[in-house]
Amino acid sequence: MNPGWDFHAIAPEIIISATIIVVLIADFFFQYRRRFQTSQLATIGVLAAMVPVVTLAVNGGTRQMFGGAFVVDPYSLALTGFFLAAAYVTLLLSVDYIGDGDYYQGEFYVLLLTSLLGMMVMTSARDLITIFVALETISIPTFVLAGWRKHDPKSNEAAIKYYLIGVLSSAIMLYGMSLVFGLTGSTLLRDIALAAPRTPHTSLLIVAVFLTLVGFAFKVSAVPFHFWVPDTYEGAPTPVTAFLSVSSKAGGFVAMLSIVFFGFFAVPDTWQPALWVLAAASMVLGNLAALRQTNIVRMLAYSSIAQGGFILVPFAVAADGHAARSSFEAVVIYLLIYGAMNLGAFAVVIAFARRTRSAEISTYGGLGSYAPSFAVLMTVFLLSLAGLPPLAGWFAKFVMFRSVLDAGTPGATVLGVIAAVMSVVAFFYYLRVVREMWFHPVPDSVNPEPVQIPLALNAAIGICAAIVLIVGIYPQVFARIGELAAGG
Amino acid sequence: MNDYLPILLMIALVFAFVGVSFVASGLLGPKAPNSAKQSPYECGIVPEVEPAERFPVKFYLVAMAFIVLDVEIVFLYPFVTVFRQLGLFGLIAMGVFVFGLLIPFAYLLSVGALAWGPVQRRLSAGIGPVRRSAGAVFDPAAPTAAPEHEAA
Amino acid sequence: MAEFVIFFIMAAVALGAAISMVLARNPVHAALLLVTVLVAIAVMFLLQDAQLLAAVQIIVYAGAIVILFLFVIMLLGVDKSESLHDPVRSQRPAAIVLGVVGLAELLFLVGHHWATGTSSGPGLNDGSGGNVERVARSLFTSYLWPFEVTAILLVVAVVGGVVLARRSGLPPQQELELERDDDDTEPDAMTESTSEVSAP
Repeated sequence: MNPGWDFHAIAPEIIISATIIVVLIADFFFQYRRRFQTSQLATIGVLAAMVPVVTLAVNGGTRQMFGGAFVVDPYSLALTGFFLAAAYVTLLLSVDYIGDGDYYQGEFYVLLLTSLLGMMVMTSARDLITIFVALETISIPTFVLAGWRKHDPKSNEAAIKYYLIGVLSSAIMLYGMSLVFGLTGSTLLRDIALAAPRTPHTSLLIVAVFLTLVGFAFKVSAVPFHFWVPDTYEGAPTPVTAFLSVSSKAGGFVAMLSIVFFGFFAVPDTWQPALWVLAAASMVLGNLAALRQTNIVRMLAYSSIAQGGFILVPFAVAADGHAARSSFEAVVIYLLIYGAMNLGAFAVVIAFARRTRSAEISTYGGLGSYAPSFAVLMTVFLLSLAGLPPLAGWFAKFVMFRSVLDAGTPGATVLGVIAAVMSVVAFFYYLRVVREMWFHPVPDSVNPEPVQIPLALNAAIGICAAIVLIVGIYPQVFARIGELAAGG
Repeated sequence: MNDYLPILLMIALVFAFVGVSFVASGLLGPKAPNSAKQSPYECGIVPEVEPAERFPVKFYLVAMAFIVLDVEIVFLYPFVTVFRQLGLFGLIAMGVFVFGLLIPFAYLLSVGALAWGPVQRRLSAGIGPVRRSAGAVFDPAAPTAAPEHEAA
Repeated sequence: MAEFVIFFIMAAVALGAAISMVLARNPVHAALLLVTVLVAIAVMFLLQDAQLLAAVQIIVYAGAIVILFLFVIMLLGVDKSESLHDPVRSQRPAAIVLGVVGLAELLFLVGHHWATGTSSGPGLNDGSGGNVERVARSLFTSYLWPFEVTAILLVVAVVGGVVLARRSGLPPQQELELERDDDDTEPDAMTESTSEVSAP
C-alpha cells in the first residue's frame, strides 16, 4: 500500500506547506507595528524551499512516486526554482504595497504561498488529476488576491471577471480530461501517451484534447480566450498583476508542456492546429492592441498576451521536422527570461506609481531628466521585452525562432514570419514609453524630484535587472538549464 | 437493489406521514381564525419592527466552514471502507489530511469569525487582548475609503 | 425490470423538478427543487452501481452546495420577488437556440455508435470489493498526492471567505492610534460588519 515515500523529492512542497500554516497562525500573534514579520516568515519559507531544490538538482537523476504521477527531474526542478524565485521577487514587490495601503492583511502571504504551492505541484505532476488539482491551487488564491482592494470597484470587477472565467475554463478543461480518460483508460500521462495513438475514435480524441487545451488557453490568456486579461490586470493590485502575468501564466504553460509533450506528443493532429491558431492570434491581436493603450498596466497586459503568443509558437511547431527537442527547450528558456523581464517592468511601474498614483504612460514624461537610473532600468526591461540584443529578451526570441527553423514546414514558416513581423510591431509600443521617458517634458501633475524607492523594491528591480543583463550577455547560463530540462 | 428497500420504505413513510398530517389537521382541527392567529409568529411578542431583509455576511463564514467539513466527510466515507487494509499508512495519510482541515478552524476561531456573543469579551477581559494584525478595527468615525495608494 | 421502472420514475421526477426550478419565481423554492433534481440523479447513479458517486451527490450537492445557495439567497434578501426582465435582451433567444442545438446534438448521439445503450458496470469485476472500496483504494494510493494537496485547497477556501467577507480598511496611522487607545478592549471586525445589514 505504501507508495514508497521519497521525502527528499517532496521536501520543497512540504516546506512551503509548513510555511503556509505557520504564516496563517503566526499573523495573529504579531503586533501591528511588527506585522512585517509575516512577510519575513513567508520570505524565509520561500528561500528555505530553494535548498532542497538545489540539493535535488545536484544529486541529479529522476525520482518518481505514486506510480509515475509525481516526477522530479531536471525539467521540474528548473521550473520549481523559477517559481520560487518569481515568488520571492513578488514578495519583495508586495511588502511595501501591502504595508502602505489600507489593505494590509496577513492572509495576503498565505494566499500567495498557496498559489506558489500549486505551481510547484504542477511542475512535477504527470497525471491529469494532479494537474487539475494543481491548477485549482494556483487559481483559487489568485481570485481572492485580484479583489484585494475591496474599496475599489475596479478591483472587484477584476476579481469577478477573473473568477467567472477561471471557473468556466476549469469546467471545460475537466470535461475534456474526462473524455481523455474515457478514451485512453488512464489519467497517467505516460499511459495516455501509449494509448492515445491506438484509440479508434480519433475525432473524439481531437475534441477531448481541444477542450483540455482550452482550459489552459484561458490560463495563459491566449487569444481568443484573453478578454478578461486587461480588466483584471488593471484592477488587481499591481504586485498581484505581476504575479498573475508571470507565475500564474507560467503555471498554465507548464501544464501545457507536460500534457502536450508527455501525453499527446505522438498524436500531433489533435493539438497542433489549435495551438497554431492560438499562437498566431495571440501575437497579432496582443501586439496590435498594445499599440493603442495609454495606461502602462493595460499596455503590459496586452504585451503579456503577445509574449504568450511567442511562447506558444514552439508548441505549435513541436511535432514538425526535428523541432521536438529545441521547441521544448525554447518554451522553458522563454518562460525563465520572460519572468525576469516582466517582473522587472512591473517592479518599476509599482515603484513609480508610489509617487504619481497613476499608471498613465503620459506621467512617465521626462523621467530620464529627474530620475535617470530609474529611467535607465525601465528602458532596459522594455527593450528586453522587445527583444533587443544584448538584453535577455533577444535570446528568448532566438530560441523561439530556432525551433521554427528546426521544424522547417510551411506552417512553421508562416508562423515564423508572423512572429518576426509582430516582433517589429512590438518595438513601437515599447519604444513609445522609452521616448516618453527620455524626450518628453515632465507633465505638470508630476513632481520632478528623484523617486524614493523602498529597499525591498530596489532589491526586486536589482535582481531582475541583473538576470536580464547577465543572461543577455552570457545566454549559456539559461541555455544549459534548457538543455538539462529537455533531458541532458 | 434489495439493500435500498429500507430507504424506499422510509421515503414512503415520510410522504405518508406528511399527507396524513395535512389531511388530519384539515379534517379534525377546529377553525376559528382571528387577526392575532394570522399574524406572523414571533415567540409570542408583538413584532415592532420589520425583520431584517438581509442576513449579515458573517453567516457566510459558517457556510464555508460547513462546506469544508462536508468535503472532509466525502473523503472519510471511502476511507472507512478500506482503512483496515491500508493500516498505519492510511491512518497517517488521513491524519495529515484531517490535520490540514483543522487549521481553518483554528484560524476561524482566532480571527473571531465564530465568536458572536459575549464570550469573546469575557475572554479578552480575563486573559488580556490577543492582538492580531489581521483583525482590522472598524471605527464608524473614520473615513471608510482611505485615499487610493495606487491608481494602477 | 425494477431498474427500468425506477429509472423512469426518477427521470420524470428530475425533469419535472428541473422545469419547475427554472420557472419558479421564489428563489428558495428554486433551491429546494434543485435538491429534488439532485436526489433523483443520485438514485440514477445508484442504478449504475456508482454508490460512492451517489453518496457524494447527496452529501456535497444536495447537502452543501444547495445550503450555500440558500445562504446566499438569505444574504441577498428573500422577500423581494425577482424581476424576470433580462437586462440583456438577446439572452433569451440565445438560450433557446443553444438549447435546441444541444437537444439536436443529444438526439444525434443517441443514434450514433458512441451511445451503445449498455448499462455501465462497476469496472473490472475481479472480486476485490465494491465500487466504494475500489475508489477508496486508488484514492489513498495512486491519488494520495492530489488528495493531500486538496487539504491546503480547502484551507484557502476558508481563508479567502474570511478575507472577502470581513470589513478591513484603515490607514496605518489610525491603526496605530487605536492600538494605543484601545488596548483594553478588542473591538472586532467580524461583529462590526453587521452594521450595514438592514439596508432596505
